[in-house]
Amino acid sequence: MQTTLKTTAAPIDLPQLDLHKRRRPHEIIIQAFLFACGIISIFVTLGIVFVLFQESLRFFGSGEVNLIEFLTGTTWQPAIGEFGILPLFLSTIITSLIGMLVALPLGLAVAIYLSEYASPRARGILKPILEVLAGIPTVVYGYFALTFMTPLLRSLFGADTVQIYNMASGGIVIGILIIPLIASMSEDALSAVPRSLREGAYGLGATKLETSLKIVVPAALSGISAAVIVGISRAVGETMVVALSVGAGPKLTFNPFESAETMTGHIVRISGGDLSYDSIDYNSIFSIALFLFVITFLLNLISRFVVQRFREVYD
Amino acid sequence: MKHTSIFVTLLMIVAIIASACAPAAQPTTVPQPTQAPAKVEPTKASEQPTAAPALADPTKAPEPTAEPAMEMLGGLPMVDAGAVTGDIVTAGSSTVYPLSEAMAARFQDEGYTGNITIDSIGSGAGLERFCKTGETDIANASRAIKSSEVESCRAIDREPVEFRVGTDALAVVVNPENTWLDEGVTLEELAKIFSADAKTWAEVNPAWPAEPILRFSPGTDSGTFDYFIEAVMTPAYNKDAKLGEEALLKAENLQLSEDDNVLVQGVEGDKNAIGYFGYAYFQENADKLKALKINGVAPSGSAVDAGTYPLARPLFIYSDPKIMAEKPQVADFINFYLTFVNEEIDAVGYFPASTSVLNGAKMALLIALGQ
Amino acid sequence: MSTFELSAQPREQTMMRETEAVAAVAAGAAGTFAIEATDVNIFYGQFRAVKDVSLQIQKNKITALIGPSGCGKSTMLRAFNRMNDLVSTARIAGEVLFHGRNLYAREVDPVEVRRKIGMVFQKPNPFPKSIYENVLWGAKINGFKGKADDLVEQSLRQAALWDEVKDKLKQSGLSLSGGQQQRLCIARTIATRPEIILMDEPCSALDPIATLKIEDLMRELVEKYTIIIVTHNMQQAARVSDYTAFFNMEQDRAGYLVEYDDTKKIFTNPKDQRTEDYVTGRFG
Repeated sequence: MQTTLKTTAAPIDLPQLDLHKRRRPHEIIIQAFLFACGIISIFVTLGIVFVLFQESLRFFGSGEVNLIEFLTGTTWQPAIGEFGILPLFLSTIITSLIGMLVALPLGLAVAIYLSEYASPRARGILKPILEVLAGIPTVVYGYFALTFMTPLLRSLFGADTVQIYNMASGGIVIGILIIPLIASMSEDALSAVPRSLREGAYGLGATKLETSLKIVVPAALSGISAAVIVGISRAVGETMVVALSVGAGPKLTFNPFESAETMTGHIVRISGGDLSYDSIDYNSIFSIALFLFVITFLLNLISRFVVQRFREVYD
Repeated sequence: MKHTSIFVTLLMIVAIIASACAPAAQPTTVPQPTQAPAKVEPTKASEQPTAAPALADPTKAPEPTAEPAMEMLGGLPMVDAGAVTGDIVTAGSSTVYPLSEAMAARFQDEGYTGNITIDSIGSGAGLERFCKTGETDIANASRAIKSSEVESCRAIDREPVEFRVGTDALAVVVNPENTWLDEGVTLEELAKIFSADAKTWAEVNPAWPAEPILRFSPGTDSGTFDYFIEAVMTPAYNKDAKLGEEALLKAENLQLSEDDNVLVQGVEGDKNAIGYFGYAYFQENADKLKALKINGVAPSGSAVDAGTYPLARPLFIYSDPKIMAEKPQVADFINFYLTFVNEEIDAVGYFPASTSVLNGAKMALLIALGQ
Repeated sequence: MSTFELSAQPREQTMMRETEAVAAVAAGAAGTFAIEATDVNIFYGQFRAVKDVSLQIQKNKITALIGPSGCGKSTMLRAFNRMNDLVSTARIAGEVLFHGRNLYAREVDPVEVRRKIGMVFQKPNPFPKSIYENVLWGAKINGFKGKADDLVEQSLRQAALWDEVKDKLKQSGLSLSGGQQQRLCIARTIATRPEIILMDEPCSALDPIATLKIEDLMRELVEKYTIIIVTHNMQQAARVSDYTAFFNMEQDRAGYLVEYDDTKKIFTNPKDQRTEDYVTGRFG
């Protein structure tokens, strides 16, 4: 009690009020450091874009191929001057689509379970498992596709139908690979749905399932769409799985049980150290990379757009 | 505001792509020299092997001027691996790779303490690293060096010296369940099987099943691929290597991989598959694959020795006298390689070069060291 | 005996029995109270939020639960339709009788309970769907098969919202003002045809005019429904309710019922000194 009394009496003894600006060097240093980090990431991105454009320009400038051929040709075989990206693009689309067909329902189911159903204990077990799943190197997934998924598909559909290297197997494993991504992003979106909406539904006599599927999921739909788009860009960009299990020859086919080669798979095979640095084959992989970059860039723009809309939904 | 900037970015991308599609004035790729320059290494004689590059092909022997030095062979100094220091960098053919690796392992077993790197990147890339970027001390190749590569080497002041280390037979393999090729194939049939002219087996031979042919080939920059084009495809297409290559590359269901395991797995996995690669890989996987007779001859040591197996080819390593002088460990390793290669080569799965050829290589080393 | 059924079973069946059930209730077969709580204790984990509350809610009346913040009145309200079940740590002891059946009996399905005892929340929480769908949603999941348009109109009229929204039924429920949103929430509750409507501080997020509208609405609704309202606003309780229950809390923050009587009595002549202190604004 006495001390409080003293302090209340103290103001008279306080030193004169000083509102002058003070130098705080550590603040400045930290600020500069953080700024530099931001700048570096921007420059790295710009650098990558620059290299992609530069090398692609060389490719298109070689006179051996023009953009129309590049976009519409149906054969990709650089060694004989065939540069039609369609077979690579189609294969990328098919594997990604299969991947999404696997990842979307499963990822969403996991997200709904985690966000709406799981007890804290179940969450405590399941979330780390998902994180482990997300942390497995993709090359392991690649061998998983080759040595487990492909034999499984062959035993289901027959070895005559399913080729040893095929898009289905790679696609399914890509799906498994991105489940954690879809699940965690969707779970964030679901958890962000206000509790009051759930209570409103329960208050009307809705079951848990009705509440989850008819109220929470629709309310989180924009966030889930964003997760799906990020998942698609991940699937499109996935490399090791397709390099190991989908095949090593570009082929224009819609049959998921046939082998083909995706854009990323082709890049990794060709850049495996076998090409002369200034050959057109070598430059061609940059044009593929640029094409990929444009795709993922567009997907990112779309996802940003969707996420922005998502914020407007329930307030 | 945000949307505008996004569209501006998109427009820029489109604009750049559009400008890129206009044909530019100066092509960046140098046209292939249509003929080899006049002054070529004597070893260039082996650049165009015949369809059956038999082992004893005299054109592959080293410089004729080395002949009087035959007695000097005993003079190749013994290498004390334990005394050798310094690193060795090699890269090249995936076919030569297992052999070089076996030799390196033995070199290290016998006391060598430095680091020896062996990259398996294909003959073309290996020679590029050796001749263009000059990153390596030794290039491994499953074909002879090309004149254009010799030129690149000279441009960076390197003079490639060729050492013949053995012979590889190319194995053409099919799935064990394949029964229609038990009698083997002819080179002509093989060319057709691997060409765009046939989609199904029946299109090559009506007696064969009407199933699609699934083709597995080493990548376009590997020496094995080049050799296959040269020895199988080219003869079937008016001796035009370009046509032959095109016929193969335009074929459907073609998988090209530098990774021989991809090929092994592929052929193992499908009864309609066919593939080819170095005999060593076949031997490692002999339980899962079937090697075909070519023109009635199965790949074997005796057939290769007798020169009857049509798809046998030489294996080389290349180095440069100056490198060997600057880095004695490189010379020592090559010396060691040539001395003991025939003790290891069987285990690796290739066929030993004949004594005279190997002696020629040792001679080349002596000469190079003497410079 | 009442055939009223609360256990888990196919919805359509329950729906069909509803008319018989209501008839039975109207015949007075199930007693005179809408809800009868006896010795209710509610815990959140180790914490006791409500202590020994017994309370009989009169049919077709408005009962207000008042008391200082944290006195357990909201918790008590949520106990009437088992909303506390949604909190995993919540536990209840005692009995809550509805049509003579204990709501917390083992075989009772909370989903069915909530269908009969609807709830309106503190903050308006319309679904991010159209006004039309908002009204229809609860009825639909409960197996409503009749004419949707009629149900929507009827419910919105009962909620005194029809005239304001009849031309924009396809617009999002979120496009409405706060007061309209709350009336929309009442409309969607009415559309499921409950017997009792629980209101948890329904006007605390609204301006005075919107509040008055809701209060008027409550007076209209009470002719058909039993209403229990939790409110902080003593004037509101005095204006709108027939009965008032005053809750307070002990040192350990366990809420208990102090006094329960006619609203008039509570506000003019309470028996308990604590009630008098509270209603005259001396604490709380």
